[in-house]
Amino acid sequence: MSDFGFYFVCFLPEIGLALLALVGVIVSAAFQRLGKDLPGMFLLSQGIWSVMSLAAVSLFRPMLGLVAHTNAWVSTDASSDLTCVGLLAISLIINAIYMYARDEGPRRMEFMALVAAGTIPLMVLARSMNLGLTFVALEVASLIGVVIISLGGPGRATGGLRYLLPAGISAGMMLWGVALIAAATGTLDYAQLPQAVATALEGPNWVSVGMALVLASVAFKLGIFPFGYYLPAVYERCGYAGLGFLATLGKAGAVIALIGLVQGPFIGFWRQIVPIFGVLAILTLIWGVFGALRQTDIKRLLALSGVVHAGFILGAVSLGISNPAFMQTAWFYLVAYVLALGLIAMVLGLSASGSNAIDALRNTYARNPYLGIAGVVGFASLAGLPPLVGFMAKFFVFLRAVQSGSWGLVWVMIFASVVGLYYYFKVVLTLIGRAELIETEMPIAGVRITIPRTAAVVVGALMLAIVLLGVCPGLVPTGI
Amino acid sequence: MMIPTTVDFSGVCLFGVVLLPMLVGIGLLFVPNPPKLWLHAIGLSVLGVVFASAMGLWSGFHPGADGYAFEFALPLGLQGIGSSLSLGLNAISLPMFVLTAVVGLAAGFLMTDIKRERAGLIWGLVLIAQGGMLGAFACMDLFYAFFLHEIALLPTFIALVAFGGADRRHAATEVGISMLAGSLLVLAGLLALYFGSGVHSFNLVDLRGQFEGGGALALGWGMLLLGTAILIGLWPFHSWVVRLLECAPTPFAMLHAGAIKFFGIYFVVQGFLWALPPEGWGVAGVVAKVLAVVALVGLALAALEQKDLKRIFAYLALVHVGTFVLAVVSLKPAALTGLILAMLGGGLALALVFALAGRLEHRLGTTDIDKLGGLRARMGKWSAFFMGGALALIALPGFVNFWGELGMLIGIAERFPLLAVGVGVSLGVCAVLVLRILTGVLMGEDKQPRAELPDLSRAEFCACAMLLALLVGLMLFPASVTLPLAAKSVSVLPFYL
Repeated sequence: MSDFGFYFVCFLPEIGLALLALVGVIVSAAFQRLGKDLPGMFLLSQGIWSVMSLAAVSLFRPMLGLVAHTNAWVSTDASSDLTCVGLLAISLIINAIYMYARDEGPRRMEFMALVAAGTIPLMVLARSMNLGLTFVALEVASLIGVVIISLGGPGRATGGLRYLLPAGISAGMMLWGVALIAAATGTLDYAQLPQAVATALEGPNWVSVGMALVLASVAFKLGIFPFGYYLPAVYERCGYAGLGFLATLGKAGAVIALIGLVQGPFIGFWRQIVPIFGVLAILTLIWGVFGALRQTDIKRLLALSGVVHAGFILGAVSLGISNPAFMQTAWFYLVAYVLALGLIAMVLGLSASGSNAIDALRNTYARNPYLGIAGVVGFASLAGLPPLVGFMAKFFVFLRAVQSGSWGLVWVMIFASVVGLYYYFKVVLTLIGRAELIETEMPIAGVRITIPRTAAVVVGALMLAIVLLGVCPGLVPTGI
Repeated sequence: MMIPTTVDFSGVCLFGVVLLPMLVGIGLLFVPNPPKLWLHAIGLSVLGVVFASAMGLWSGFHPGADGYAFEFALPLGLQGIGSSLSLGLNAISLPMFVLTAVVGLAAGFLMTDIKRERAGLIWGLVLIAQGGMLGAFACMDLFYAFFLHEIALLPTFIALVAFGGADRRHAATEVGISMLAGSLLVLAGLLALYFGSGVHSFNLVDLRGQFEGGGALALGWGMLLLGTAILIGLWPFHSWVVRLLECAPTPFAMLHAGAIKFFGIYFVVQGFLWALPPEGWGVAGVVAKVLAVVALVGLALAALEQKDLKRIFAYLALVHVGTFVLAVVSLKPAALTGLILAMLGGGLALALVFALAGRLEHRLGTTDIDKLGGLRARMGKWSAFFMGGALALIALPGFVNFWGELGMLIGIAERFPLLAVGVGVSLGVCAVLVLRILTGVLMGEDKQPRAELPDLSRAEFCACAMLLALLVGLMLFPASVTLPLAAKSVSVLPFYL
């Protein structure tokens, strides 16, 4: 098979999604008057394409005998295939949230097309073997993110603007860092960079500065202390679909970039990076939990709890740098976080009442038991309670931290988990409410929330995934 | 990967007994307000099947060479760290398993009188907690035992919030944070011991006699014991247990006081005694003894000051914890055998008195002892059961608790003669308190303003009768519990003792 044919087959998931996004934009612009079913058709097409992509990478590629190949730009190995399919699934969840969220106006297919378009650079990022490509992919996704969170109801544009500033700072830092590294080493190829960096260190140490800038830029996107300062202000102005995009695809992109960088071009700096990441993880955990404790706004709470989870992921990454066999823990944690956050955004979107206050969720269980239980499952998973995937994710990080003898990290993680229970359960208690008060104090309790069957299927699938992976984590790679 | 490695019909039955209540419970969560009749029928049927199965397993208990019967193993993806869902019962876990099944069924009988909103939710939570606890006691794998115990705790917490008494929000916060802090410390200690020991398995049979002990495990031990102390409510970590038992709805107070509360002690006895360093308990033993004595004497005296029946019984439950800790630290076979009997008897008696206190509160709206009096004349059946439960709590002959306390006292006296005096004093104070309550609540002037004060309903009678019958029955036939414990294959003591 020719090179073109090989890469065409390997990049089919990205190519298909790009075509879908393009068709989506064109159809949306030209035929919006056709009716409200267009977004539904887009969602269906995206779902079918996700399943086909999974089949392509897991069945057809091995059948065609297309082995992994790495060049100066991209790698087409099995792990990047898996990551791409995972990203496709996440974008499908976000579009499902948009489709059914009650805080959105008339559904617009541009939003869904933009989510698909924002996923493509992240899929490229998952395959990137070049620092320049990593920069471009990350920043394109970030830029699309600005547009996505600006779309929709009043106040969204403010959210977009609030995100634009840190995204711009982050892009500038990364560009500067990449430029410094390129100037000092003469290459941006992941394969050549470790050796080139070692050689460049013999001269003026611009490589370290460049590396610090690149990592700081990724830390902005992941929400690491102190770079995640902007997240609560941005989240509170997002719709639930936009929030889902930032919290899931945004964080996934940052984790993909971070792991790619520390295992690739910056591998030679691991002795310096590990303690810095360890300290930053601890500070992020502490900062996040104390910030989240005081929140009465559900979106701000999700932003700050996301910071805490970023701390857990960074801790897992730092353990994975010292021992590459442990890196799977960070991936598993990311999967757990994305599933729980996706479910929560879906539930909050379906029960949205126009207020961000946690109290506005009161008696959701009484108004719709299915949604109430789904919300409890989502928040309990974020809190790390068994038998949910969030527990297994935290357990694996604990396991690796104890195995590495990182007791400082263990103690802070225990502290963060205990305090986290307080703010997560504040929401859980509100969702469930008190039995006797249903008909007396809470008139809203009588208003039943109705949800479409297809939305119930998505919620059910997410709940099932959270429970199944909590009980049988071996269904996905865990590194255990 | 997901295929059971050990397939044996009795093992599959055990797995089914653990899984059934959890699955039905999860299903009921989605139907909060179903017709009461079929809800109670489903709930009671499940608990009845669990109870009958537990009795069947008890009667058919013939352990193999490793001390276990009814073994079942299902790998779920953690084989890399030597962990899989391995179920099986030995002479220590079987009594706890049966206790959970009995208390669960008794709680189920009381549930049939529920006349509040969301009966489906509370039934679902009870069944999930029941399944989790059965699994925790039946688990041969320390990690999954911990995992299943956590599954039992979560419904307790949610029930406290949705159906709890006054001040439930503060209680829920304190209870939730204490439970999680204790659990995470136990988990971290478990992992530290796992890596420190070099055994690379969480299976109890693999672990037996494998630990080499030593200073490297000290940190793991420290965290494990601190976490356990929080989970069992050892002084000074006792206040959350009092709040929970005071505020939780009656079925959950019964389940917690009657079964869940014992998991910490059980976990240490079943899983870790043979992991003790050669020098014995060392500093941890000294700390444990001090805390236990304070619990024994201090909490018994504090109980004298209480005015609420539920709080008084909660304090009595915590006083028992002090004796349990001393029994474990003594490392004497008599004390450990007594401990199993005492947990069994204590669980049954506490479930009984909390059931009765809960039903009294349901009728009168209060359990303040100053407002109660002369109940014997108004509620004959209630009074008889109440007297039985209260007397069992202070380990009078006639109830299985007597053998338990006696065994523990002998073991403690053998190892720590002075501390045995503390246990005796504590028992004396508790006896005075219980007799005072009995005379105040059952005898004397009738203080109830209500003209009609219905006695126990048929369902309540069934629940109480079952608990009391076992308390008395096990007094007459303690060998059904103690004989299997005497087998060498069950010995939980370190090999060098």
